[in-house]
Parts: sequence; C-alpha cells; structure tokens
Amino acid sequence: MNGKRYLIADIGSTTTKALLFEISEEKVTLLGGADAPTTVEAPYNDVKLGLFQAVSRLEKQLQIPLTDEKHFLQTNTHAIEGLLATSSAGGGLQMLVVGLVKTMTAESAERAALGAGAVLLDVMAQDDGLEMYERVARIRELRPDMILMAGGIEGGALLEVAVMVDILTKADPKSRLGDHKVPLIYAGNSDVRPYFESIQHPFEVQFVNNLRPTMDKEDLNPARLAIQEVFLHHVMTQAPGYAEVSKRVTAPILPTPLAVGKALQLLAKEYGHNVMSMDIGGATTDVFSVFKGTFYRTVSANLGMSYSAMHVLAEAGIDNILRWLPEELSEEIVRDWLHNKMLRPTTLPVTPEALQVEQALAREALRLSLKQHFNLTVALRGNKREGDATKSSEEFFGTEVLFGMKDIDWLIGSGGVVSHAPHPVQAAMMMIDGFLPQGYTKLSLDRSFMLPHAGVFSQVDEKNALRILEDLCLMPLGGVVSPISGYGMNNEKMARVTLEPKKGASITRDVRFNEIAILPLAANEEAELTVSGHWKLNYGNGFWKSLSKTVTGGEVGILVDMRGRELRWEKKLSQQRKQSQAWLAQWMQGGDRV
Amino acid sequence: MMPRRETFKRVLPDVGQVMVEKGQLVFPYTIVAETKLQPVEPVIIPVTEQLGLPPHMMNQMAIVKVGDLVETGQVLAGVIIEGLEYEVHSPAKGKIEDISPLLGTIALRLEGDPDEPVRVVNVAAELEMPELMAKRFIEVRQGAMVKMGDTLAKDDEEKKVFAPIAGLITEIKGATISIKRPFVLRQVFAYVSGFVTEIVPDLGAMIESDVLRVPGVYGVGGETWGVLRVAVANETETLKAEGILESDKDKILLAGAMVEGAALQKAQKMGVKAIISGGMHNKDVTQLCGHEIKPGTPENVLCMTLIVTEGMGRIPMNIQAFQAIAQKEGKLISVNGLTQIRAGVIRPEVLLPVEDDEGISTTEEATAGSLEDFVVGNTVRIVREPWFGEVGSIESIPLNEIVLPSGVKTLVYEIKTASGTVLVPRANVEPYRS
Repeated sequence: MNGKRYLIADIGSTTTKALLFEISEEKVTLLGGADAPTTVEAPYNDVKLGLFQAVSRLEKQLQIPLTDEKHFLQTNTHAIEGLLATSSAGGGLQMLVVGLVKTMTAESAERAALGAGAVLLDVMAQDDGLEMYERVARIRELRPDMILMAGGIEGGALLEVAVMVDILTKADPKSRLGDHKVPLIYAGNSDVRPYFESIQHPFEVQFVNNLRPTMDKEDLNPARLAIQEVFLHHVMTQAPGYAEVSKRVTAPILPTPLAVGKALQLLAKEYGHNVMSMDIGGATTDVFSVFKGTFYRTVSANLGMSYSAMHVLAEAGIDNILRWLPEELSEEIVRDWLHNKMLRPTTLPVTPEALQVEQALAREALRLSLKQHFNLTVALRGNKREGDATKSSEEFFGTEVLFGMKDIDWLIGSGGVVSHAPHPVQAAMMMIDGFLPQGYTKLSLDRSFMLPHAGVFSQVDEKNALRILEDLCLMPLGGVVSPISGYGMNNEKMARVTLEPKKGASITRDVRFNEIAILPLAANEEAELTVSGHWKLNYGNGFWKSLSKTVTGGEVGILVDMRGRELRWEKKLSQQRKQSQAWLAQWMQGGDRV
Repeated sequence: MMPRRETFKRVLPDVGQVMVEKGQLVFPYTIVAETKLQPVEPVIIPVTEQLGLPPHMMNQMAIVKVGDLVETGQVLAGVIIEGLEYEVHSPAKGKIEDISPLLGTIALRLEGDPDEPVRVVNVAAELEMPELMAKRFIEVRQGAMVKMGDTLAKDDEEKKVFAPIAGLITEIKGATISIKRPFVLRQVFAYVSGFVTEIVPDLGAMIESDVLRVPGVYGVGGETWGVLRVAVANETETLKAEGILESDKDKILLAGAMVEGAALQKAQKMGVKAIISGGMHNKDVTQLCGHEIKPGTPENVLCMTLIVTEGMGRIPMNIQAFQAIAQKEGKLISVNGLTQIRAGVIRPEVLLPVEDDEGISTTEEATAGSLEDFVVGNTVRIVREPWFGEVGSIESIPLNEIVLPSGVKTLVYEIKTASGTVLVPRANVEPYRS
C-alpha cells in the first residue's frame, strides 16, 4: 500500500455506493467501488446492512480486508485510514420551514434549509392563504424530522410570530422516525424566545441567531450549522442503523446535497470561480450554485427523467419538448414513450429516436429547474432601496436576481441522462440547451457521481478532496462561449473565432448567427481563445468588444454558440423542429453520432 | 394470477353511520356507511375583544373547555366588573375547537342538522327601509358561499346586515336572502361482493371476498363496478367508436391492444363506467380528462375509469389477463384506476368475482422478478419500444455489455420473438408468467 486508504460511502435512497480511495503524495487513486441496495426501509430497517453488503462486495473485488468476523466495518486498522459517509436514505432530511412573510423570512428560511441539504416538506407563512385550522391540519399530516422557524426582524413582529408558535404547538407534529420530540430550530426575532419558555410545547427547541435580523441582511449560516448539528445528533441517531455507522465514521455523516455543496465550494474557492452544478435524477433535479463564495441550492421536486417525466411534460408543455425533436416523431409517439418511461423508470432507450426523446425531456427539465433556482436566488425581497419612499409595492417586493448565467464561470453536469450520455457532446448539448450559459463557461461532467464523496472527504482533507475532484471525479468537456446579449440576422457573420493552442496549429473560424461551432482542443491542453467583437453582440464587457481568454480543452473542445440568449426560436412548431435539427447536426458534426 | 380470498376495509374518512351488519351479504353497490358533512370552517369568536380585556385573560374568563359541545346562546366566557356581569354567548350549536390566550379567541366548530331549513334574512327589515330601496344595498350574489358574520348588505350610513350562518346563498328574492348550510353526502360502498366479517364502529366494515385480481400498469378515475362486456374479438384488436353500443351504458368494456380516442369520447358520453385495455394513447387519455396528467401521485381525475394493463401505445393485452377477464363477461366486476408512481406505489386493479367451483389459492403471490426468471429458455416480455409487448424466450445471456443503436452501452439478453431474434437491454424485460 502506497498511501492512506479511505472508504467513502454514499447511502442513497435506493443504492448504497462504497468507494475505496488511496491517497499518496504522488496521486489519488480510486481502487474500486461497489453498490448494494439501501436497507433503510422494512424489512431490514438498518442502513448498516446495505453498507456492509456494499463494502463486502468491495472487499471481494479488491481482496483487501475491510470487514471483520463480527461483520462490522473495520476501522482503526491498517487497512483503511478512515470511513466517511453521506446520506439521502429514507428520503433524506425532511424539514418543515415556517416563516412570517412568504417572500421574506419564509423565503430566507427556505434558503437556509435547502442549503443545509434538506428535503422541504412544506414552507408555511402567515400570508400563505391558509386558515389557522387548515395550517394545523396540514402540519399534522406532515411528519418532519425537524422544523426551522423564522419570523420577525430584530425589534420587529412579535405577536404574529407567537401565533405561529401557537399553531405549531397545537398541531403537535410527530416525527416519522420515533416517539422523540421533534427538534425545532428557532431563528427569528429573539424577543419571542421567552414565549417558548412560557408555554408548554412539544418540541426540542434550539435558538440560533435571527436569519433575517434586518430587512436588508440575511445570516443563514448559524441556522444551517444548527440544522446540520441537529441532523447528526438527533435525526441520524433515530434513523435505523445510523447510530452504529455514526460511531465508526471519521467525520460527521452529511446529507448528500450538503456534501455536494462542500465539493462545489472547494472548487469555487480553489479556482476563484462561480460554479453551478445540476443533478438530474428520475424524480427530482437539484441545482447547486456557489456565487461569490455563498452556496445556494434548489430542489425541483417534480422535475425528473422518469418518475416525474409527465410532470415535466405538463409544466413545459408538449410543444416545448417536440421542438427539440425531428418531425417524424409525432406528438402521439412522444407522449406514449414518455409516459411509458414514467411507468417503467429503469428501462433504457434502444433506438436513437428513443434517446433523442429522453434528451429533449432533459433539456426542458433543466430549463425549468434553472428558472426555479433563480426564483429562489433573488436579492433580498422586502429590502427597500435607498430613496425609494415613493416606489410602489411591486417595486418594494421586487425580484432583482442576485446573479445570472453570465456570472457563472463553470458548469458541472451530473445525473444519469447527462453523465451517461453515450457521447460527451450530447452531455454538453443538454447542459448548454438547458442552462444557456453566457460569456465563457467551462464545462465538466461528473461521470461517476463522486461529488458527494469528495465533498464529505473535504471535512478531513481539503487538499486531497480537491485532487479527487480534479483527477478522478470531473471529466473536462471543454468550454462554451456565447454572447450574453444581442442578436444578428440569420446567416449574418457574427464573429471570427481564433483558437491558438500552446501546442499545435491555430484554428480560425467564422461563425454566423444561429450557428454552433466546435473547435477541437484536447483535455488539459491550453489555448488562447479570441472572439472578435460585433456591434450587435455583448460577451460581458460591452457591445463591440471582443473576448479574449486562456481556455482549457476537454472531451468536446471549445464550443461557440451563436444562437443568442435567449434562443430565438422560429414561430411555428414545424419550423422550430427543423431549426433544432439543424443545431443538432452542427453539434454532432461527424454524422456518426445521434 | 390466482383467485384469492381477500379482505377489504371499507370505511369513511370521518365518523358517520354504518349501514350494514356483520355477516351480511353485500354487493359492490351496497352502501356500507355514510355521513353528512358540513364543510365550513370554525367560527372564531373574539371573546376578550368583546369584553374589552387583554387576550391573556382568556383562560380566566372561559367557562367552557376544548372539546365541549355547546348550544346556541350558551355562555362561553364571562367576567364580573364592578358588580356587573359581562358574558359572551355561543352564536350557534357546535364544539369548542380552540381557546387561545394569545389572541383572546374561542374557535367554535359548527354542527348543524342536514335537514335544517333555509335561513331567510329580510334585508329590508334589518335596514328598516322599503324593499325596493333595500335591495340596492345587497352586496352578495345568488350562488355565493358566505361565512357566518359576512356582510350581506350595507346602507349609505354604513349600517350592515350580517350572515347569521355560513352557507350557500340559494336565492335572492327582492330584499330577502335565503342561506342554506351546505352538506356533503359522503358514502362508502362495498366495491366488491362478499360478506361483512367485522364492523368498524362509526366508520364502516371489513368485507371478505373471493376475487381474481388482474393488476394494471396505469389508470385514471376511481372505483367503479359494472357488468362486463367483451367489446373485441381478441387481445390484439382495437376498440373503435362503432364498437361502443347504446346498451353499454353503466357497463365495463374489455378492449384488446388499443382503444381509439373517438371510442373513449363516445364511451364517456354513453355513460360507460370503465374500459380495460392493453394500451391507450396518452394523447387520447389527456383529451378525455381535459388536462395533462401528472400521475406521480394520485389525482382526482373527472372522467370515466380507464385501466391500462400493458403500457401506452398499441400493445396487445397479456393473453392470460385477457382470457381471465373475458371469461367473466356478463358478470358484475369491479375496477379502480387509482395509480401512484412514487413511494407507496399503487397500481390500478381489475377485480373479478370467483365462482364457487373455481376454488381459491392460499399460496403467496409471486413477486417482482428474481434472477431465476431470467435464465436461458425462460419466456419473457419486452416492456419498451421498439418491441414493446413482444413475448419471446431467452436464447443467450451475453456477459459483456453491447452498444445499442442509441449509443447506450449495457448488458442484454438475446431474445427470440415471433419477429426474429433481438438484443434487448436486461432492464427492458419482465418475466412472463402464465
């Protein structure tokens, strides 16, 4: 053995995946990985069993002792240095969020909970339209692992917050994991704290700093840390089998999305980038972003590739899916195929047409989930701007977006349909068509779903967690350049693009409006990219201005996307379908790919 | 698929009246229990505000407690100030739901009599003016729902007329407003033929029935029952509009591989209770229901019950399923289209009555396929295009992944079907059980 070995497991909702890494001065190596079904539900009711099974398979695969005769995982031996785990099993950390005003404290609390990796059962506020008794009935139906309550800026609302406490007390929600008291993290107006002490309530209460102390300030970290701590010490110890696993891990078990967040924050810090990642699953799509060091996460609970396929169809509309497909695929066929995918989620596309339908669905799921992400990552609502005493309430509750795609330097794709796309260029296409990156954006793919493993490992060793990300986890696809605004006329020459690699001949290409070009540049190869300016286009530094940048290649190369932002679609569906097929042909270039 | 003796729990969501007895023979249409619900929200009485005192004194003033049943006019709270009694009375008959010392209120859940007569409010008399004048000040419309205490009319001097009860405004005639408390009749039916084995007090009963259960893969609509008619010749045929007859009203129809959109529309118009088919087009089902279907979780879909046994598209019904159902032509069968895809999967069902001479099985039903189902020589069914519904035998099991025409790389089975030998992803195959 040349280095230290770490066993890192992700205990997912259906599959437990164990990976064994070897870390040495020279390199990080993935020695092997094995899966087993997660055993959190009946009849097993013990996650340790599934974890043990996965590790046993790994042991057989690698012929390295990882378990002992008592069928426990080996720790404190020379075989492995440490064990780490992430979890989304049993539905993950399920939270109820309560605030006072929907677009203010409730929204801030929602951000805190999502950023901590929670699955939100509901977000309630005084102005959510429910009557008191409806709220009580609704809370009773839910069985949260934990409640996050906010409301009232410091020195602000008192009675209204106390009423919400009253409602929670009356509802007396039960935990799904046992008979213990439901933990409640109170992160609202601190003047309300004595009220908790004056009444009999059924909760295990923890007070943290107000997450919205003033209208224009949000302080989510104390709440996020409290959620994590309560998750580990209260929730996880109740979940079947976790207590035993908790004793054996080298660092705290993290909710899987939080671990992904840590991995992205590590990348953002190391490279000084704003990073965005998506994880498109069968039922849900997560979007993560790190903007100026702050982590944001949204979960689009009804947008996914199989269980949620029909929901995507309903939200997007059939025409928005058909526009990505050739005309030979009728509405009737596409609907039936998507519906069947929902009914039999594990089936695979056999024909090129079936794959196209799935990838069209993925584009729309990504587009809609990004919209939801930006809906949450808005500048603090309710924050009065200076000198606006005369502004209307619409302006007061304005939705100024905190950041946009023009601010994202790096886009990372994850999730089956993207990670397992037969050709990397298809993955790049879905990411670009779904998220419409602007300016220059680096593209990578997490082919092995290793982001959570790297994230949880960063608790122990940030430097090597980064090496895992760079050397093992992320496949570089290259990058994409697109104007952030401006349009040309069809076939109008918009830019001369020059790519000058450090090694090899330079490439120059003229790109027209609505055209996509791919300039080959291998992984880890650097080049100088220059895109000439045009009076109609802005690449982020003003109209007329050119863009120059040192770029690194990847499996696809450097893509130039001159379709405009937003995409300028033809008016009729039949024309849109021809338009997208022309783009597809340009993407695929070689003709031997789908 | 084997006939089995099953127990069905047939209960109301809330207390009501049980209409059957233990040991009674019931049929799908037998009412097991019913209740008349009054779906209005509790009335919030601002007690401390009425008495002019701070909310935190609520508990000291309340005479009733949570859970108490009170009559109209009954004293709920009171206080003596300088020798004078001040009381708050209940505006209606009901149950005390909440007493809040934070807000100083009492929440009263109303109870009423379903046969309670319509309450008539004479706005002219209340506002003390002629009818012609009074009717100008009415602020509500016929057909509107009002809460107790809502303003029905207001004159120029801000004098108001309030709704004495919550309910539906059934009529506005001149300056009189009629309000009827709405009641919803909720009934639970037996759904199957069988015997009542146990009464669940105030809620319903347990019913034991011998049934042959044919599962579907997708459905819309809820429980229903009807006499079965086999509307096609075999499991591969399409049910067209001309195949729907006048006499199919209230019946359940069995189709083969497909039901055309026009047939679905005609059947719904004719009053057909349900259609069972191997396949249907999502487009046709969506048009029938009038909206996109998002069947991740159960939906209340307002159209006739549809049961799809194989998948969406034109897919011949499993021949065993078709024959089992067809054998029951002329008999009363039950179906439920309820489908839930996510955690807690619910699949639609067809329940066929079992004759005395058929016998029932007591062995465990075979569950989802295990590895033993997928060995060379076994018969399997393909469950994804381009060979959806085809049945064949496993010729070989290649050990290495192959690249499909889609570019996806995966493990496959080599399967011999009627149309030839094909390489099918292992994930696209289900065991074929007779």
